[in-house]
Amino acid sequence: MKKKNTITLFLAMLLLLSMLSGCGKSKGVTVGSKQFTENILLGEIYAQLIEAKTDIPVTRKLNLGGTAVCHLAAQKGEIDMYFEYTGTAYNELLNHALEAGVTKEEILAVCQKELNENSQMTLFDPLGFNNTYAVAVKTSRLEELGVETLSDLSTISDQIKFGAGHAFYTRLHDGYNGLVDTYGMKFKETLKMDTSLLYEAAHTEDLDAIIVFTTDGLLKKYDLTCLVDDKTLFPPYEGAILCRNDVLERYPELRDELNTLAGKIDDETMQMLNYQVDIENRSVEEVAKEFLISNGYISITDQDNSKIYTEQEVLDIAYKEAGINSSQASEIEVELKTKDSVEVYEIEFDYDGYEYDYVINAKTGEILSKSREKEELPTT
Amino acid sequence: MSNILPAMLSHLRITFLGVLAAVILGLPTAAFLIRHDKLRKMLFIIVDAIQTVPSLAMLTFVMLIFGLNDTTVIVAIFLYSLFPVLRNTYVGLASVDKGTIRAGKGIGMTDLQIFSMIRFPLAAPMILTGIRLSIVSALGLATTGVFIGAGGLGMLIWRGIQTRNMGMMMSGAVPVFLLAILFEYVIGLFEKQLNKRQRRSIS
Repeated sequence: MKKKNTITLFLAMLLLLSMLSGCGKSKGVTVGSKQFTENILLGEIYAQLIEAKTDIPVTRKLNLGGTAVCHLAAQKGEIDMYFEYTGTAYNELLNHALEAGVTKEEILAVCQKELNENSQMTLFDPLGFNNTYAVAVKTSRLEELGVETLSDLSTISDQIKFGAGHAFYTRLHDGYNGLVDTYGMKFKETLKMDTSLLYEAAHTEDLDAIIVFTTDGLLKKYDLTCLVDDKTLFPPYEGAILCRNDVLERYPELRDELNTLAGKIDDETMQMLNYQVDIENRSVEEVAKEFLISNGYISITDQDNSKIYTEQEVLDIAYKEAGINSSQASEIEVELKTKDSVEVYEIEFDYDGYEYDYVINAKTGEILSKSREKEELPTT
Repeated sequence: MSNILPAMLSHLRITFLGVLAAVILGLPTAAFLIRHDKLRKMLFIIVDAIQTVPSLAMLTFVMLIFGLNDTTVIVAIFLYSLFPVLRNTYVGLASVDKGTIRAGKGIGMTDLQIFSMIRFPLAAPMILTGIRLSIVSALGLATTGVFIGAGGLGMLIWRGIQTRNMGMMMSGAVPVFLLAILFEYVIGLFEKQLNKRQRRSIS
């Protein structure tokens, strides 16, 4: 009897705590992400894309724990979509062993089919990049060593100092053992160290070859090149957005938007994006927005149709295009007009004896026409 | 700088609610356990077992019930705090000198009086030690709350580590460090004060 009281008290406490947070499902979609830059960045990119292209309100739950947290949260409806990798889904979510010889197409097909059947989730088509393990060598030393592929490296492996993170050595088939078995590597030296130190060591040439992730922004920072895995030892980790089916039924318009980026981000682009956040320390929001706008997936006005550029903003666009700064221009005229039911700015200014004319879309900031003519000198 | 203060307040809120829940439940339970040996042994096994669960696993499990928010972290802290709070309170209450209790009975005190005037005051420093331990470890635990989408200083620390941004990492880690030292010190002072008073009243 008394034990029962304790249990009741315990449950009452839990109930009280759950009320404190004032939960309750909000409308719209919730985008989640795992806790590393690339995944957070892609979560943010999808969040902004949905916000710009649809009227669906978006909630962000970025930087969650690993795959387990994201997937369970998605199953439970705490998040509706997150960015997943085919190798991870195949191995960790669907419990298939990642054996050598299975192609990336096969893995993708299994993931799409079984995630749909087992978890009622849709894995969209991959974006194009493959964030897997790779052996990287300093770009400037490729010729000196005469290597392009892992098979090339194996022929000189007895002169190579090799380094990798601890996890790489513990992987059954596709880690260090795989390198030795598949390519017959016999490295001169083999070191284990923290990933963050590896890049520095390859850069200073203390190590000749290191294990990296193919989309890491640090590859760009330290100017490293990934060798081609010509015997496909490393399993594919193609990135794709994973969304619960009921959300797609509730918001059918989502399907098109989630397909927009399929095949559009390759390894280099992803490296570049990661680089901007990790090394240039720019905010995830800013990098995501810039990527979407500069590739034309969204325009600035998607978010707010009533907003148009100010005169100063379009002038800056024109100056930038002309390659001058604002103090150099003279005789500046800016006029807002409507041409063919499009609001445009007509801009004129003089610089260095030339007259510049620009027509700029007032909503998108796009330059519609430009001209540069020798100024007519006043006749005497 | 501007986002450190709100993060710190939310960090404190999470820490305190979790420990508070453990105290509210733990104190009466510990008092109850003095006379229920069998239940005590069983409960302590459960509490010990909870203590061995890794924090991310715990958060993931609790998340399934409470979702991706602060509540999950509060519940996890509550569960982890049960160990120091329950154990210390029990040991404090149970190790009160039998002679003192008999003396209380001798002058005609009721059970309630014995508890509130003898057992509890004498056990107070020990109980406080348990609470202090809970708070300090909860401050650390709350930083992992970021992995299930909760607020607090964890976001600054983990994002700082991931992007190798020392400044950002420190802006999260230093407040946690200072808060831990502050609570350690302040509650430690209380404990000393209580101990002193007890010694005075005994002599």
